[in-house]
Amino acid sequence: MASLSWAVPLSGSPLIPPELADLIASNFWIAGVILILYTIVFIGLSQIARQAYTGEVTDYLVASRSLGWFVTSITILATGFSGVGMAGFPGNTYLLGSAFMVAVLIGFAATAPTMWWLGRRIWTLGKRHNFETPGDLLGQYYGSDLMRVYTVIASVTFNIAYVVAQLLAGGILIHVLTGGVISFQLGLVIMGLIIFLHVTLTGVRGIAYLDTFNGLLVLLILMAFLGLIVSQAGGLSNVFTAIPGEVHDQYISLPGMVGAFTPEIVLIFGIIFTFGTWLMSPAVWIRLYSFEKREDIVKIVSTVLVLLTIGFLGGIYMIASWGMSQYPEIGNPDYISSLLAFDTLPFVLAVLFLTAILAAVISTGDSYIHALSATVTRDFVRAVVTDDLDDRRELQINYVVITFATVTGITVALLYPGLITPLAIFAGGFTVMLLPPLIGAVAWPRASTEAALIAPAAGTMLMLLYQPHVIGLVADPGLIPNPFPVPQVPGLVTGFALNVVLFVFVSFVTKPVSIDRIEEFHGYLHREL
Amino acid sequence: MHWDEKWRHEERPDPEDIPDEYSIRPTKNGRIIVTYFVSLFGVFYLLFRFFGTEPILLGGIPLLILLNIGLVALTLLGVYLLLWPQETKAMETAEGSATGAGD
Repeated sequence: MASLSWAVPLSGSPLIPPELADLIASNFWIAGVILILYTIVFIGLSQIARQAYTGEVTDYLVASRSLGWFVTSITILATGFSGVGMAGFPGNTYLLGSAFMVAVLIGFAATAPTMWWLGRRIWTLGKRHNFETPGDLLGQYYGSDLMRVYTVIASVTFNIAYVVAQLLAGGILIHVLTGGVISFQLGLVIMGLIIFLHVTLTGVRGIAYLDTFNGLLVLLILMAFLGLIVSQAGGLSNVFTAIPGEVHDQYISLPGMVGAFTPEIVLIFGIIFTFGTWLMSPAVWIRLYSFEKREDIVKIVSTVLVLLTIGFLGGIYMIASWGMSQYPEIGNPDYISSLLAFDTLPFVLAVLFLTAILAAVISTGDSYIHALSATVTRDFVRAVVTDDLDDRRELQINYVVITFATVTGITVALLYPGLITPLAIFAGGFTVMLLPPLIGAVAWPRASTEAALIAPAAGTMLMLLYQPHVIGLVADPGLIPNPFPVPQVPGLVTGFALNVVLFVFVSFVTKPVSIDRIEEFHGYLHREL
Repeated sequence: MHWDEKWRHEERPDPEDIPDEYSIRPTKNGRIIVTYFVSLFGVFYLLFRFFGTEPILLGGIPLLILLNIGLVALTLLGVYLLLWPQETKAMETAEGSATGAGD
């Protein structure tokens, strides 16, 4: 086959073992067929979503608040099964040990009741006041456009970082799937274009439909992967006993491979990290406005917790653990899931697995670019720059923002092709800083606007003093010496702690928001809940 | 630009003017929920502290991971036993008051 001849000389890629490149090259048509089949499903789902799409802003942003609990659950789940989750987390578990996975899962467990507590309030207020973005809720409660701008800054930082992480993961996948024919750089550009086209054509409904398909596909393939790993290892226990002796004990216990994950750090870091990257992510917040019935929140949080635990523990953790014995030395740990797939699964399933990760990457990229455009347009352009903006114009501005975000994401990804997870942790630091103001707006009427403006800014500044080296902005370890072996921990934890303390303190020395606003929010919630 | 810092021109109440029932302090049911989840994470912190630091395999699976599964399972139990009834009750109350308002 003609296409194979140009696919053969692929073993030049430094990140793909020559034998793997040859295997992919000689079965290139299988990968092509699977990718084409997935593309057909992708276009079909987008078309179905387009038929239901009303073209109105509310439909574009929150699907007219009509999503069922199952679709909402899977779309939230799919944001967890992102490029970060599927490529970054196995890499980090491989590097740091079981401790890292335990921290993430503790975070998910803590998020479930918290999402219920906050989610039913966010949903109730959203329906009452027609909120569609995080800035709608916080900006209106605190009566401040600066507060809205905070949510935009957090959204832009978080979403761009996550989109970059998705593009990096997508670049890796396309590079591996084509056995190195398509370079990592070209792969991430292709990824960016696919995400751009999908999100502009279908809005949040299309994203939710595709997420549902992608989420279930990923889950199924992860379970198949688990089965084949156990089969190849000759039993579940062999997966762990096969881990090389010199790292075995550190891998399966706290404080993990680098000695950083003490029980305290696992608990605190896990919860704050998950709150930042998941609970407080603008995409999940927007989903909390989008479902139809409030009582569905219990079904949503429990479904998401069950499926995430199964997917992460049964799939991602097992990939990292088996990878420890199969690839004791690896250049870039983010490649572990891709390489192990070809080593463990039949070729068709391996390609399907990588396609499923690709699907997860598209889903998350869609969601985050959508959330970014919604927040910038609604909370900055419409709320702050001009109030003379009809729905048609608002949609057009959304498309402009999406274009700009895609180009920025691709540019940053090309300039910074580093590890995926550190970028995500850094991004989560920005969003988690909005948690105290959110609690103030939905549950603590004593909170003041001064506190909501000062505390997150101070927390973010402190985090930034620690963090620049993590994403390679500076070479040295930041302006404050880092006392922890894991560089992401101090900024996130101490920045958030300062934020909470300041938020409470400043609230107590200043006056709460107007009594009318307290009635509109806390009074209404008191009557409804 | 129509930048608006409305809060700077608003009359703001003294803290004691806020109705007590809007307080963040949980109700009786809320206290049970908070106690359950805080205790759960407290107990599991101790389990992680004393057992999670040991490199033990139980049935071939790291004890640390089994502890984690236990935490998730008990969180789910809490969600169903404590949060679900709370949500159902809130919906019944809301429907009752809506019917009452209609009468």
